[in-house]
Amino acid sequence: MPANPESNPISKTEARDIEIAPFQEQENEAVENITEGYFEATKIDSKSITIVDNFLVANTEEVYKKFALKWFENNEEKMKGDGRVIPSDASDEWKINMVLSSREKGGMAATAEINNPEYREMREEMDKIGILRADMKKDHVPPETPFLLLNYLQTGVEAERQEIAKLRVEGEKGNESAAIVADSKEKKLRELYLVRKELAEKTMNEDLTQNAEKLVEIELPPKEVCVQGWLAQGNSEVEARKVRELMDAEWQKYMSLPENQRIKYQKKIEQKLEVSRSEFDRQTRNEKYTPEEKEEARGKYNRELFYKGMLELTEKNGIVSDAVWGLLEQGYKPHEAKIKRSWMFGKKKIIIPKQDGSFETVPVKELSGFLKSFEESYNISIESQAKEELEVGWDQLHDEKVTAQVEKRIEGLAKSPEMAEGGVEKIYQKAKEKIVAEYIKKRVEKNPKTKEQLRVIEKRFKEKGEKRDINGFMSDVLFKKGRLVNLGEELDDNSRKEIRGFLRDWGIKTPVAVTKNISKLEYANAIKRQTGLFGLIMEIIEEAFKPKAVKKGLKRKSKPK
Amino acid sequence: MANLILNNDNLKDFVTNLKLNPEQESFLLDELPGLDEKERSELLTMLKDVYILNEEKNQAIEKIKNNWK
Repeated sequence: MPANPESNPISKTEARDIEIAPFQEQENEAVENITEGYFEATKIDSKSITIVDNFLVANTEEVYKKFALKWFENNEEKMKGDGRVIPSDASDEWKINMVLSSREKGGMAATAEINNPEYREMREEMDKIGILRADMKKDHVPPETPFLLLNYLQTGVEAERQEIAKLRVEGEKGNESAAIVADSKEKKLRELYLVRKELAEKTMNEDLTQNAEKLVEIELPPKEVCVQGWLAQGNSEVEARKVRELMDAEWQKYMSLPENQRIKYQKKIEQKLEVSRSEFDRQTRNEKYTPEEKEEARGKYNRELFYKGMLELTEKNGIVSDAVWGLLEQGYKPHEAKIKRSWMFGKKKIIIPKQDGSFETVPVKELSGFLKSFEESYNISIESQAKEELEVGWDQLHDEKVTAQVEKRIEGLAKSPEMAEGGVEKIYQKAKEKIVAEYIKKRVEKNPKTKEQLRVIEKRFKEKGEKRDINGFMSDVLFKKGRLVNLGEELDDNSRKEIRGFLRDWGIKTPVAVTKNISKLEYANAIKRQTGLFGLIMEIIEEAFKPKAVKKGLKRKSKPK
Repeated sequence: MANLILNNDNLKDFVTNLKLNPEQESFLLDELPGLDEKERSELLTMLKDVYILNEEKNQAIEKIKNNWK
């Protein structure tokens, strides 16, 4: 065994073969997997593995395609010289197929040539993908793999985003298949985002969403405040859309009638609602329309004429503004209303038909009051719809901002080899601490008294429904950062919270007002005893577990639920 | 005959070069002189595991350096 194993490293095999003692049989097979159980943090969800693997497989295909095109470029003249017929307008797809497919199928079967030096870059890319895929599928994923995956995926994600942006532009120009491909790619990116988030959270041991939400809180006011601020604009947007929907519905009904009935209807209501083809031709004789464009223009013109006509009709009867929309919304036909004089007393009344064939008769004197309720309910429905939409809008904006913050954090990790190396150091350091802590615990357990104390604590952990095991807890308390008196100063937030919470639940006050302070001398003495500091802590915890009447100094709280 | 690997100096060197948590290192060094040969052997077994972890960590960091894009 070298005196300095760090500066003069020996191989793992050599380390395993060192003779320890003649009386002890070595369990070498156990050494093979000795370290693997210590990397819980790097376990990857099986669904995530599938998603990443699919992405990597797709990337492998892309690398092969790149290689095939390069190979084709390098060998085109030679192939022609050998009498192979190559179309002058051969597409990339044709070339790729030709280079990669078997000779039986008329191809060049050149896949293996990716190992040639001129394709080194592609070979290395394939190797990287291969290593990641293999490591990811291991029962115990190596600690460095999540970092390497994040790094590899980041490049791919950025390339995909650029591709999606291009496809979106194509989609806006009317290329439907580009829009579909963009949607599908976005869906895959979303899946990949969740996996990348999982990897980053595990490697950094932090809740990225929670942290991002805290940052978003600073820049985005709360939902209620935002929605209130946006309401005026939201109302007018919803109203414009609603008016259009209500009018469109009437227009559709009108246009579903045969032409002769439409003409008859116009005569009946004494309002011009559309122009004929010949009339439109006359009006637009100086315009240069194709026949299709002309028909489209006439449709638009007639629709606007219909809307204008409808509003003129309602206005004639004293029904204006929101009352029109309120009536339409509730199934009335305000544009078909008629004013009639009562035969008995000569009083005027207005008859408003409904879509279902019935009608409402309202004395003209009471019309204003009658319409008010429709105006009000219409405005309420607009505001409630606007509010609902604005709330959804706020949720979306909030999610986008949170996602952007999470992405920023993932990107920071994925592009920093220093963070990756630091992260791996941390994971291994923790694993090392766990091995030593287990060893120390075994030593401590050799003392029957301490063993019994441990049993009590373990029982308490179970009663309390603790998810963590006692080893981890004790390791944190005793060995992770040091002494009880220093809890709260040296520990990271999570560890401090867990340990302090546990101790507090059982009546041990930490850290500033810890009842049992450990002096430097006491600590030094304790560590010299076989049970060491562990025994000292045991004493404190046992004291806390004692029944109330027996205890002195420490007050036990009620049993935590 | 006592195994030389298991003497105080060798084990102390091994412990101090493994870059352990200071509290743990202190615990191990403090109790080392009082260990009998069997206990020393157990200690060395544990230290070997830590040593292998150190080796693996170095390889992992090397792998990151070689495969980082």
